[in-house]
Amino acid sequence: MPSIDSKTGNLIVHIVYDGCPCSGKTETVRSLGRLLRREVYTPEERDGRTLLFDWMDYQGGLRMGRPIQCRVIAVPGQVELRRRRAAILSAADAVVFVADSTPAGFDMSTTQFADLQDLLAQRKRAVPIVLQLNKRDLGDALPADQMLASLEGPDVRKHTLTVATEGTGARETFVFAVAEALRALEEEGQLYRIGSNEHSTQEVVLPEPDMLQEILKGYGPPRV
Amino acid sequence: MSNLNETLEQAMRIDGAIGVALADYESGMCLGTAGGRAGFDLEVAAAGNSEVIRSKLKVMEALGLDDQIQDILITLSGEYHLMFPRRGTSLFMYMSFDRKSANLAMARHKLSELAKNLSV
Repeated sequence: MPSIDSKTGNLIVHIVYDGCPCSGKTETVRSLGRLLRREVYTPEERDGRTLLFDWMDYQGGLRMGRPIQCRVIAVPGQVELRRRRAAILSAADAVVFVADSTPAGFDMSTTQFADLQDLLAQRKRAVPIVLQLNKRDLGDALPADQMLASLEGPDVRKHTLTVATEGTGARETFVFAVAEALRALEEEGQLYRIGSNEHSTQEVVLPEPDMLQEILKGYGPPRV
Repeated sequence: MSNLNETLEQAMRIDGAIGVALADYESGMCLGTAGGRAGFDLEVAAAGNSEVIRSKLKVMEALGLDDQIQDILITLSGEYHLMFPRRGTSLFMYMSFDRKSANLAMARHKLSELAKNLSV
């Protein structure tokens, strides 16, 4: 859910990056961090694999006179960490699904995408999805049309073509996701509701460390 | 893939150009910027002007106008500020020009062409 930071008055939006293992989620968020000159926080990883999440805060843009503060979070993609992934996805205002364009990676991506749809179906509201077709620089990358035909869904709003390792398309994808999140919230009347002072004090967001603990509460140490 | 940087560089070659940004008016966030000058933050300018575009769209909706914004011009004493929404998207090009050296008609024409041909 979006909320208002009681101290700064910023509108807080959560953009969650999902995808199968090794699809390029972490690389995308790190590229985005370099492009936006922001630090990416990765609390724990093993052999280059994210075990908890990758996190970046970015303030930019404006809506209803309020600066937008984006919490950008990449989930761990491993199947055995599904509960942790589900917990993070439950906070998403928009999801960027990073699809691997290689034939082997795409098979895993379609499975993960179906699971994402199942997880989002448990939410009370529709969560917009932006498809990020990644690794477009590789020689065996599948045609985009073929990939899009297998990644259909009612909440898929846009797609982008990216090379996360170079940062190509990372910023566009992120901006599209924020725009789709805001559009969806406006359609539901959520922006108007939280934008009024009367309600904003009820939507206080916990400081970041507490929020991290909330996300991970009950999920125990990482299973590897 | 996008030709964003190339488009922004071309825009900066228009006479009188001070700075240009491609931004999204739903969020006010920039996809890219070029140029600018000291004390003039293009990202802040684009974010603020995205509220101008959204306000105009709301007024048009309230008036029942079935039309589209072609461009918005704001004339300051020393500068022109131009906004070109891209049809079918929530993206717009925002550009500022020095009034002394800019040819407004030519700038509008060239910027319109660049916005139309941009693939993002």
